[in-house]
Amino acid sequence: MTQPGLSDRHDVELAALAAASDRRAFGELVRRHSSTVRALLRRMGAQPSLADDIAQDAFILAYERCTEFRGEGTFAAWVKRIAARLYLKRREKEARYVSEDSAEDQVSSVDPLGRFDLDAALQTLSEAERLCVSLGHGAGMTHPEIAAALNLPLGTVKSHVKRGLDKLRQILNPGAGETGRDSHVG
Amino acid sequence: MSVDEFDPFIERAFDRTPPMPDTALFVADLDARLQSGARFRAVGLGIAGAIGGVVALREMLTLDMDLGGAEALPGVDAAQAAGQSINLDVASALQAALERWGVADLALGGLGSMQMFWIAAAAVAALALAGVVRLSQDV
Repeated sequence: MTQPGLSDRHDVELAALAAASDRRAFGELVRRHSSTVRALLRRMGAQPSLADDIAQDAFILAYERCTEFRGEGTFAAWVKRIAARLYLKRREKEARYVSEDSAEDQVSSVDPLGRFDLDAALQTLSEAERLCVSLGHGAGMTHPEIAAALNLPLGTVKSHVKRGLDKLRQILNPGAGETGRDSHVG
Repeated sequence: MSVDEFDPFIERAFDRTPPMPDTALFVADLDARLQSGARFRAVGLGIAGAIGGVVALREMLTLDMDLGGAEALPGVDAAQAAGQSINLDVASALQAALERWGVADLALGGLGSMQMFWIAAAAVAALALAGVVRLSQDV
């Protein structure tokens, strides 16, 4: 799927080529963004194999609908939204609704060098908080979009996002405390 | 870190994903799926085209023969007679082929050619509609 010169092209150019059924151009896009999409799905709570399946479905759908991508946002953000929606649909089919389960035990999310480990930090959130934060800050969805996708009241979504971010902030900066401000997403 | 700094920080953290070690395998799998999908579509379209072609040819020949029968009056010019004879030859060849495939009576089972055509058209439209519905449900 590699073609000399493709690696130098911008995503928008590659998407235009892919819209004209150039599979090699699309392959370059997949190579660039598949890790981000797969990681997002895992962060939303999908098991690795399921995350990979859904990521593949999302990229196939993106290939079929490449003509709809007009470069208004980034290609990665566009595919991430497709993938996130596919994952939510799969959850719905499997009747796994967002539960208000308690957070898992606190684990260290800052390594000895002080680097922030997002994956470990997300594990400390409840399922609903993790999902809402991932959809908002990972897939770039607005609060109303998340509420519609999860079939939850808008206020509930805002609460989940706020609580989730507060927890993440506490992990990163234990002395900071909660500020009580809403996040900017939405 | 303030709230104002924290939101973009988390967004950057989501975007900053190191490449997964099996990216090449993922890309290869996806390419194989795209390739098989394209092949499946091509075969489907080919079969649909062939069926449509046979139905259209059969319809055309039936029409020609009917017209030929109606115009078989004294004064018909030689060219038309020759054309009719060719049409009849093609028609009998097609009929023989259909008989060999066991589908010669397809249009004779109480249904006329036009009825068959409309049934086929309705089936294709239903398939297209189902495809659109499925696509809209995907996202």
